[in-house]
Amino acid sequence: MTESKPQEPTPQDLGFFSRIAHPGYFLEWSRYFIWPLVGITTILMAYGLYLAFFNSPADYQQGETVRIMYVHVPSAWLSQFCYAVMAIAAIGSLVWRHPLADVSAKAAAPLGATFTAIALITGALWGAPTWGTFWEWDGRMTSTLIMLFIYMGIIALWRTFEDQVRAGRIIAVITLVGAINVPIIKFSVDWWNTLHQPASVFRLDGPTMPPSILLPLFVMFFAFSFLFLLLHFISMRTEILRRRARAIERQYAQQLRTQKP
Amino acid sequence: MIESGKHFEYIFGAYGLSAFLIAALCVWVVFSYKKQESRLATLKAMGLKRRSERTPIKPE
Repeated sequence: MTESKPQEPTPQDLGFFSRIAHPGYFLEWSRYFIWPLVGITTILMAYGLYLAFFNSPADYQQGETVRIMYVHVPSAWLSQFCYAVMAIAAIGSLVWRHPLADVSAKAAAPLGATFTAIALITGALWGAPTWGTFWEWDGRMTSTLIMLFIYMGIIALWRTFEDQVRAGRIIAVITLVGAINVPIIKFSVDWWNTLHQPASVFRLDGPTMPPSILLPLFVMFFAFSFLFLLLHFISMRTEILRRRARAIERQYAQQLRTQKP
Repeated sequence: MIESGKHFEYIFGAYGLSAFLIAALCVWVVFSYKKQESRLATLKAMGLKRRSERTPIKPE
């Protein structure tokens, strides 16, 4: 139980990293990031969409469908990045019992699930005209679908437990077990003979596409990353407020119970 | 510049569904935040505060 803990140190007593990670202090400093992040995300998204539709050529093989890649690749990247955030947070909650690590992991799960769903949907809609099939049970697609199921399982687990501190520890272990899927997704295209193409942006010998296609891809990549950061910040703030409200309600309920004869 | 008629329905389907999912996610995230904010405001209006925000009771 959190209530039985000794008095927590105030943010002023702590070191720099502990201070920025203190839930109360996080609420203080993160509020100044919300509107700038809204601005950056909107500008990048608008510029990215302009490039994607009006200022980039059709691919010589994929034709116009290459434009789907400007949504597909950033969402697929976020689906894995978000899981990496959750895995790091899981280590934070298991090793340091950090309250903000739990909050971060819980807030990230619905975001990761949505971006994974977007990656799967846009991938299928690209595959239909290009490969001639919406879906193939190949390594990359199957492992990404499993990723979506893991996200959904984690979201369901968070809602199963009344005590969120206990839930945090159990879910942290499950998150770390599920992290094995991230390298499987990444290397599936090298290990198995997949229909999905191997890496073509982050390669040792450089990207395999011209700048006219790489630029919109990068702009959309940053637009999606900033969108994730923004939504993650707001969701973390929501979770801290939810925990505060729940703590007050619980204290009130206990108070009422002790007052009764 | 995009030319219409070349798998137009797949491209706009992909962008349309993505925009819908992202918009729904943004609305849900902001709505949840507002909900918790008003929940805390209601509790505050009832005079209920967190333990750390209450005036400390001086030891006798």
